[in-house]
Amino acid sequence: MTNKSSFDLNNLNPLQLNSLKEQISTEYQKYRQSYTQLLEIKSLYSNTLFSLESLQPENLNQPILAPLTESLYLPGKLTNVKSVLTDIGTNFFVERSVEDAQEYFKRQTKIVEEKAQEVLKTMKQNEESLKAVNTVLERKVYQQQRKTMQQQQQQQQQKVLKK
Amino acid sequence: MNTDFEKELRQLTIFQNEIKKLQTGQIDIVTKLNESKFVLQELKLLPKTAKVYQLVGPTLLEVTLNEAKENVENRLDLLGKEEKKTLEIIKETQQKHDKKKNELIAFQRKLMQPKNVPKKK
Repeated sequence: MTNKSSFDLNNLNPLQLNSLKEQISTEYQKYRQSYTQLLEIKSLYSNTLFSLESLQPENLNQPILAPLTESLYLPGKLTNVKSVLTDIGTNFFVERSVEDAQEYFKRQTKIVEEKAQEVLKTMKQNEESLKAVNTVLERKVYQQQRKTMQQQQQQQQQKVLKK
Repeated sequence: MNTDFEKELRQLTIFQNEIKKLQTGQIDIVTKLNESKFVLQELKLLPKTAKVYQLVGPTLLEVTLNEAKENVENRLDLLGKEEKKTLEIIKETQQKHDKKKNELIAFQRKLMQPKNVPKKK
């Protein structure tokens, strides 16, 4: 969507630099959002792994409370400690053994971690370009201010001379 | 002259809004596409003895591994075609938008010209 061609920032006037700054900031917000989402998914996976640990053969026939609705639970017995259904997306579920499921979630956590690292890297690059744009913008604004001040001084001197 | 200009300007903003809408739709399609690719990958890793279930409404139905793979592959095809179509539409609308913009710029220049004439002394 954005053309990160290496054009010279010095060729842009302050107005263009400002809009570029806004563009980079909105991009940064989006990246940050994806990063937090990925971290959430990662913690979800670690919670799942934790719950899977309680599905051990020694817990067979243990009493459990199965949720029927958000506020209604049904007492029951844990009868299946061997297989679980894992949601792989787009409404598909796969029946796996507890060990396979644990492996699956560990694999997923790794993938999510890698993606999160990528997003973090892009965020850093984004920060750097924002800094660069800001420095050039400040310099230009300062130059412009000095120019207007000098012009004002010159005008005043001319007025004095004319008198 | 001014009302004509305003009409053309409004057309331009309509094009811009259309492009934005199409682009958000495109993002949706791409996310669905990626999700389906991921599911297919997972299905391919499964041994032939694995049991696969599909959530259809409130019911969980058992499907064979091949059925599930076919299902996801068909979905990928459809999504791919949709993505190509939307890309084309976006390109077309972008071209119309750019053409309209150039027309507006030429129009603006014409409007500016009569003002310059009286300044020449």
